[in-house]
Amino acid sequence: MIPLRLIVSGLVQRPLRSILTVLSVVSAVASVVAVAQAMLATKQQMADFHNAVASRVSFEIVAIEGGEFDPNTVPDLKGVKGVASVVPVCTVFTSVSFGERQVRVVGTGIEPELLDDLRDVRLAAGRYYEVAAEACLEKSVADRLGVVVGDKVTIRTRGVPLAASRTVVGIIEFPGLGILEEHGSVFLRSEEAARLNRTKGMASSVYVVVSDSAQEASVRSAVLSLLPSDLVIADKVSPAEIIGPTEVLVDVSLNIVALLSVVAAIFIVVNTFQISVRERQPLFALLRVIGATQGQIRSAMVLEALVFGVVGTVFGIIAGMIGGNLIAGAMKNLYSLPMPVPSTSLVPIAMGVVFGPLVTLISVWYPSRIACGIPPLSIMRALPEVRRGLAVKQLSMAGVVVLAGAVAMLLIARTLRLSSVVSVPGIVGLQIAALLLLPALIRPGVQVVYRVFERFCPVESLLGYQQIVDNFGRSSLTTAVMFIVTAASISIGNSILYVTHDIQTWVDSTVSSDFLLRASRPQIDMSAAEHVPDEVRERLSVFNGLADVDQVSFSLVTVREFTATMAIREFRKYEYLPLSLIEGGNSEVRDGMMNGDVVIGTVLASKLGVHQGDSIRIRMGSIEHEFRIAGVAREYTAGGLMIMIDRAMAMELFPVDSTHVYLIRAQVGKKSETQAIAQKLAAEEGLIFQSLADIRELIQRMVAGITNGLWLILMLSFLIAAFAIVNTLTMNVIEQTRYLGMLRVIGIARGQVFRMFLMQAIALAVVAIIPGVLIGIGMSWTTSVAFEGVSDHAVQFRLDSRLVMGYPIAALTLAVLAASLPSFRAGRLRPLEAVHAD
Amino acid sequence: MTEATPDGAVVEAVELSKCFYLEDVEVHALRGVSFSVPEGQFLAVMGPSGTGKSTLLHILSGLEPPTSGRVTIAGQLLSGLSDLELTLLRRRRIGFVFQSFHLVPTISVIENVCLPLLLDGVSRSQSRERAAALLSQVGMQHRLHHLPSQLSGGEQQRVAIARALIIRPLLILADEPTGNLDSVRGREITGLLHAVAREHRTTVIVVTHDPRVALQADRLIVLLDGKIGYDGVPVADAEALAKLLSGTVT
Repeated sequence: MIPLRLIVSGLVQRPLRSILTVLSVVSAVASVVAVAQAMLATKQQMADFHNAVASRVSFEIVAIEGGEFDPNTVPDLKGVKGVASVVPVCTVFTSVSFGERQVRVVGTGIEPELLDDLRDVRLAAGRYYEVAAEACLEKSVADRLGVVVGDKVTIRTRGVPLAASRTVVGIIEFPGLGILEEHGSVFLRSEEAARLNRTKGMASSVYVVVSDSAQEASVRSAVLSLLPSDLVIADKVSPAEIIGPTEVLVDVSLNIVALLSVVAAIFIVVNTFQISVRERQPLFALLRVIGATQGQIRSAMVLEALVFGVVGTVFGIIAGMIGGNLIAGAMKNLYSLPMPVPSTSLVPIAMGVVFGPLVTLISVWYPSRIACGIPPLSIMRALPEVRRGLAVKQLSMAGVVVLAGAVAMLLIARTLRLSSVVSVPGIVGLQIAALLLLPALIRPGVQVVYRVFERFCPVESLLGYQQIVDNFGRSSLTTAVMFIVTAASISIGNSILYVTHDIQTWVDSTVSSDFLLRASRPQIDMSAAEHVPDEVRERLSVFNGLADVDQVSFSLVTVREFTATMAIREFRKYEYLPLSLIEGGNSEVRDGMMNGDVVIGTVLASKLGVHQGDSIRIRMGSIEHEFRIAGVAREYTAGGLMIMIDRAMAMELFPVDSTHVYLIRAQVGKKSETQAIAQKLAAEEGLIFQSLADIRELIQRMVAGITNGLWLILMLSFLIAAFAIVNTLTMNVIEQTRYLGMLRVIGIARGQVFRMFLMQAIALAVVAIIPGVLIGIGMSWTTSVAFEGVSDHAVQFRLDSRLVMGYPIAALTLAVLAASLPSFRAGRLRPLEAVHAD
Repeated sequence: MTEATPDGAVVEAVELSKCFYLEDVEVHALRGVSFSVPEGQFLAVMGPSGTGKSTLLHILSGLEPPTSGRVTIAGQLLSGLSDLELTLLRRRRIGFVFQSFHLVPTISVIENVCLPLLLDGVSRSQSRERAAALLSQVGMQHRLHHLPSQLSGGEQQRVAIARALIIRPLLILADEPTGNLDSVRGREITGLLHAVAREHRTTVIVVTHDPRVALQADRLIVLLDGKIGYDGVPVADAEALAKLLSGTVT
């Protein structure tokens, strides 16, 4: 056994080397713990977000002809495996007035004890309703009316001349609805809502909640088989589906970040240990000469690694938890939701406890092999170390094999539409393949940089170049860390940007008006929107400042087995259609729509497997017609299950006569005047007024909450990369101390040493960053392809030039800054001390 | 310490040859070198640079195999030994002294000397006891707890000799042990090695360029172009030695 004292004295008397080695383990463990914690927090918050924003309703049972039906005709579904809850609901269009104020809202008749089954709900004040004379108001409605618990409000139902007075006994709040501004409502007992609707004993829907562990598709088919022929199943679309693609991407990205953080961490630790061992090669050679066996040296290395591993793990877990909590806290603020940051889970700590010692043991395996293989003669021949080239050819071959495997996984994921379980390893596999192929690029890449630098500082460039080439293994590992971070950042950053750009493009294309007026806040599938009175159009028409008013209606229709929302608009008024077309040009699609064709959303097109020029049969109630598809449009409303049709054509073929929304466009220069008029009209008629800016802001806030969280995680990765550069270059300086001393003795100036190291840093950064950017772009594109496999939203790939141009400049600057400290240290070495350093 | 062969040789080299390839050019470092060294003999090996002196030392220690020929140390043929057996041979039978001392810089003098015994599983207290005694013998008893960097070159070499002696070796191989020392310190170290050979009956083979070291040896071998050019008593006359080294007299 090599005496412990020898190891300990080495650690104590080389504090910088020891600290850097421990710091490499700390950073590795911290990154794994922080990313694991951030992942758990993000996933938890996404789940909470869904619970808060989206109802838990998986699907609903409605009458095939539309309208109300007797809920008793629905068989007992609670016995169906996987059904968690069955909730009959009676929806009624009402206006609620209090004093002079009046608002139009959707009345929901539901038993109060079942509210919790549908979504997260909180009683902001009072209690739930118990008898027919009592009601609860949604908080935004109560605020608009100025109602408090105990007030009496008057509820009027469309088509019923008499008004009913009800006592408000509770104010209900839905966590998360603040940012989505979904419909406000009045809640009543179900038989009371039905009575107000003059449909006593009837329900408009029966909501079905499927338990988390059950397969929704199998439950749905089991329920469908039990239903009488006049009832069908309709999808319940959640408001959160607008950000669905971003969420899928976040999920994929988080998994990629997690895997890459592990890979990067291993590289950092391996690199540090390798440098640490190489520096001590003379010591190991001496020990071999005086009789230390290979096993003794290996045991010493393992023992030392374990010490570093345990110490690094303890500090790494602490640092990681602090970092993870900071990220999670920041994300909580960004979500703007009243949700707690998830309590500290044991999982990240457990991961750190396992990962730290394990990664140090893995990392020491290769260097200990080198140490054991050191020929004792190296010391007798006064060779400070033994250079070992990297098996570039073997690595490249391995890279090709991994590449083939990754491509195969991605193809399988896409073909079989598998989830991220397959696509994420495929994408990470691509990067690992590139990583294995990277060493083949280092020599020619560095040579190019050397040629450039040679013009300005020939000696320093030559020495720097020589150092990189002579220490090929170390150069490869340093490059690998930078490469991983660059590729991951470009890939994930670009993916985030093109998805958000896609949503933004959709908003810009489709929300072409300045303001809108609607009677009630609709369900997101527009299935329960109140009609705007016809006199509103007449009143609007008398104003001079309006450029245009577009009447919009929504109806639920079915296409094959899918329920979709038909948006009926006056498309013929638009020269440029307010659609974000993916298939079909503006003029051909417009011509088609004027002739009775329809445009369908991308998600519906994907589900149906149809394209521009194909035909579909659309059924509304009992009426069914065949339509040609004029085009396919990017669509996020109603989960993308949308059909767009010109109003005149729809009115000819279907019973459509009401208007749910008026879209108002102001004349140039008369925007504020028009806004004032529309707001006044909304106040007088009890309508809801919204501006285009509000809608844009709403969507931007939803997307920004998640994307900003991801940027924070990427920043963490960026910091890890910066540390890797500082760490490896500082270790390089330590390792090259004697060599630097010799150079200083023969007359190299401090500035020249500084420039020599700077050249090394820039050359390694260039060799890592350029392939990193290219592979990152490739991974981003691959993510979009894999993404199509897991989501029906076909998000078009797009390269963000700001990111692709800006990132390399930022990364190179970071590399230079990170390299400055060790370069400065190298320049300050005293020649005689350095030349005698062991 | 009577592990010599029946004829009394501790080291026996027979027809040793060593070829290197430097960028496809064949270099003959040794060409059929044969000699034997009896127990307790102080042998000096001299020769111009590049004549195979260090290569000979490496082959004798088992650190490098010969291209042909054989080496026997204390009756044990090196060519049949595994890496572990060679390691144990070095650990237990052979002491090394280098021109650059090669002490571990981070541990104290006494710990450096203890190292070979600790590697062999000897207890810490026993090792320290023997190390202290040896350091006293080489005149370093007042420096036990100093670091190597706090010692002069001569003192470091004394510590290195103590480290080589602690295993009670049959053979000490010294590669230019006075190369980094001034003449006074060099004489001291040579005297010390000579005393070791006499008192401990340890065979000492010293590779040197220093005629004063050679003069104190029992025997001198001069290597010329990988062959033994002279094998006999040390030559005192400087001119005659110069002729020997230049190959004009054999």
